[in-house]
Amino acid sequence: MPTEIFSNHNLEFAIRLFAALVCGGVIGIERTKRNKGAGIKTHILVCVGATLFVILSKYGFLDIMGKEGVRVDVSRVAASVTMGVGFLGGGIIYLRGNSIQGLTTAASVWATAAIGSALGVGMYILGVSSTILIVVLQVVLHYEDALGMERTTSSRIVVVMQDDQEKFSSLKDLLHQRGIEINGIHIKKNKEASLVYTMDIRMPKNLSPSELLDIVRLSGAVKSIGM
Amino acid sequence: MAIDFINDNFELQIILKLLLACACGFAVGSDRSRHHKTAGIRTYLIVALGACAYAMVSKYGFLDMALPGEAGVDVARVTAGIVTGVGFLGAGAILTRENHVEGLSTAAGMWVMAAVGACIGVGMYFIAILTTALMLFVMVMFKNERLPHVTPADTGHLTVTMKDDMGAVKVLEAMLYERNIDIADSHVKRHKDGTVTFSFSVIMPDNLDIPETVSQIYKATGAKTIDL
Repeated sequence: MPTEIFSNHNLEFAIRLFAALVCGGVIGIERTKRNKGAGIKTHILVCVGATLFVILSKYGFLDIMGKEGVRVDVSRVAASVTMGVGFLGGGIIYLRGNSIQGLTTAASVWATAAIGSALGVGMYILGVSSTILIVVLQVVLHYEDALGMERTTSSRIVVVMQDDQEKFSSLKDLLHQRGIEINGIHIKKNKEASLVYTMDIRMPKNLSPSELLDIVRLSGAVKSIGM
Repeated sequence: MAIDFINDNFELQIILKLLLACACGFAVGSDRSRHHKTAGIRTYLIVALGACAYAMVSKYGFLDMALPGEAGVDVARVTAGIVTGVGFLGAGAILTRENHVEGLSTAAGMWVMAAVGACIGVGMYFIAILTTALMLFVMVMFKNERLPHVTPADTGHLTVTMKDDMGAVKVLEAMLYERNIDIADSHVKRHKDGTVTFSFSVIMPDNLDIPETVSQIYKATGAKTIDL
């Protein structure tokens, strides 16, 4: 349930805003260190903004309540926070090559607004425990590489070779051996009667330069590989 | 809580609220302008002013229709629209480039500025002014050079063009590893003359001596061109 620590409203609101500053900051530090688009400033601002909108929603209209014909839905402005921050988050997501980037950051901005809202209505425990959970999860799940959940990255490979079914299937075997999966192929005929294959692939993360060069050499036809 | 300073003169109160919203927008916007951000003094001032006006329309503009026995007025409805509306504006201020995002804190800042303006509109002056002060604090405090331990790691691009020689590539790998240079993305391209070009996105340690690194790589691998 919402708690009021102080009987003085302004003091109470000030505490909520400061709590939002701290919670947004804690989440933001982790994001900044990982070089994400949304860092400490963005998270603090979103968290403080959500708190302020929710305080406004809950307490800003009380003085004209009770007038006949006036209804106040004290959660209405607070409800818009979810949408407003959803739009902001939408702006963070972008397409890079064939893969979507920025989703986690967008989600973390959105969740930060939820924490700001919780603090704004006075649910301190909810706000603080969500903050701790988010930070712990962001840190722990970044070891998903180690857990084997996300070991590949989407990439692109360009191959120039003669129109030869056998050569192509041996290339496919080579890529398959290296754990590279072909998702899409674009073929173009160039002047010297050879074919240019541009393929969208998923390949293991952190292939070293020598491993990449190895693929280029063994195939004899790969012109370029990588992001 | 919402307070009315001058209860008997509503018009004067409106004007004072708008002026206060302008002052808050000015305070934050002038800091932004000084740092040549996309959204400067005018943007913040207008967002604060607009939000303040919307909030007043929402709270006071429909009271004359609030008659007994009628459907009634929800005085928070227009104010709620500010939150989504400025969210749209902010999303438009965000630029997504090939591999990074710009304008995010500008978008978030505009959104908070709208909250400040709306608070002034409904008469919650104390928290509006407090939040303005907090915004200024955050924007001054977290400029990248102020807090070195929360600044993002240095990123860069390394391009090496060299002979197709596995030994030299192994040397290059070892050199990067030795200097704590992390490879985030890599790309290899083979040329007709038998050379290969490696392009890497790298994360570099703060104290990296770039000229020294480049000349060492050059010496050790016999590369044709190096670019960091």
